[in-house]
Amino acid sequence: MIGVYFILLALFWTVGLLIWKKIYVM
Amino acid sequence: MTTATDALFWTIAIMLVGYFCLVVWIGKKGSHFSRTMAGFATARGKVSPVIVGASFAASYASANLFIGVPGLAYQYGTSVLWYTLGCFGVSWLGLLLFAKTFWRYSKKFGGVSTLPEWLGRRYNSKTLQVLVAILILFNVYYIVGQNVGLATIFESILNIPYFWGVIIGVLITVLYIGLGGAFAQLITDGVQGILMALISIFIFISLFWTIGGGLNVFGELSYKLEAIDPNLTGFLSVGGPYDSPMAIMAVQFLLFSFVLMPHLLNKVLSLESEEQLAPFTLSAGLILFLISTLMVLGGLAARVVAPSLSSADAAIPVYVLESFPTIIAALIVVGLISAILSSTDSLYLGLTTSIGNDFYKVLAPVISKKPIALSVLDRNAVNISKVSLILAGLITLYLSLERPESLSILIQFSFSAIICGIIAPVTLGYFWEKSNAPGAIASLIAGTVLYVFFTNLNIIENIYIAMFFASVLAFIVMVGTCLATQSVASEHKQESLAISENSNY
Repeated sequence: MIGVYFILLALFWTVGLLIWKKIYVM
Repeated sequence: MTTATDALFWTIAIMLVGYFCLVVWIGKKGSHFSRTMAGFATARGKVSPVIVGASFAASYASANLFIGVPGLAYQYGTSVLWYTLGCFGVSWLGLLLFAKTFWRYSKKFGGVSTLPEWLGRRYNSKTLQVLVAILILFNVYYIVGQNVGLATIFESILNIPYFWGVIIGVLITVLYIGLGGAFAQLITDGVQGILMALISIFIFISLFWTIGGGLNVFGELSYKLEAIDPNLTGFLSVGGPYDSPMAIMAVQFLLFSFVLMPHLLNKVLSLESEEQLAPFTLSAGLILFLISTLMVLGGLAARVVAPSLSSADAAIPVYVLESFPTIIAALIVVGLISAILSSTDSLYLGLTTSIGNDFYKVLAPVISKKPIALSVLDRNAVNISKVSLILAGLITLYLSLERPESLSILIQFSFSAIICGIIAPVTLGYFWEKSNAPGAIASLIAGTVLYVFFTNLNIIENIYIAMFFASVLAFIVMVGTCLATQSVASEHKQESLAISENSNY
């Protein structure tokens, strides 16, 4: 579970940064 | 043992006094912003967006994340990681999706100070504004959770009895807030968010020497947890709140909507220009990540280091004491205390601002039946906010004296009750032009009443699932009521437009 935790955190960072770039850096 | 505790006690006391002096100094710098209600509540445009972002994260993360959630991890094991995963991932996505719309709307209304006011303006309904302000009174239980967190720290580290811990906790909280106002709050919360991020990294690194195993430290942690109890390393807990996929999904839904909490959205209102939203949201995301996802690992490690604690909520304080030299432990404890204060002050400020802004300013002209000059109204609102702070402090003190079984569950109950009420009016208010005041009022009452009903009568035992269903029903009630009252609303629409253009408070 701890391994999965870190993988999912990295995934959220990726998705979050993509959304951030799309909405706030235009 | 006594001498170690004595040294620790004085080190912590001196550091706390130093921290308070810093707050006073910052508060003095900002005191002339706090004279008006808008300045007292949001300190608009006076603080760097990066600091506001850190302040958002610091207010988001309260005793729930520093004491309560590691306590749950201590008790139930790795299934609690689903909660902290959502705290960063899902909540940050929520902030990214809501921040811009919320900020733009608030500009359109000419600057609003609080969420009840925002909703009142969006739906052009004073009734709704007052109802949301009443709903925010649920935050009293959220504050009780913070008091319990402070008392737990004092008890497990300094051997101060729980009763006195609560009293000291409330005293330093009220003192801390009295020192500042929103300007000091934004700065100290921002600094505090960065400090907390550093402490979280400390806790993370400490696993290398408390658990060992070099780079395979997490493999080692899993192995040691499994040796204590195989259930501690599963994806789902056995018993406890994280025992089904449905519960995990409901947790994510809760954390997504958590950013709608009034004391957090108020932070967005303190930004001056749209360009500031980009550094604000990025800073909030980074600090939120560090603060919310690392501390819980300390709770897991505590189960290995100190497996037989009487109260699971003591996991982090005890772990810090066991793992660090006295001076570092004292620094971390002061960090934890200031972290709890930074959330509590936002909650108190949200509560008292609502009483001044949404009760007094709305109801006083109605009750006295004659118009009151705006400047008088504004000055009185600030004073009433300050008096209600003392009153709220006393009420939470009384409610904290009986210790709750789990700090986290108490806190999560209180904010779920608020979210169930406001989730449909806020989200539909953004995205659906047919949403109107009767629908928002019906939804607010239905959502909160259903949630309290589900949880108190044990109709749905899991608080997360209860919150999910109450919210879904709140959406259905809102859409139904809005559609049913459409014809009435459109007749009033012209009239209400005229009112909102002329209103100038």
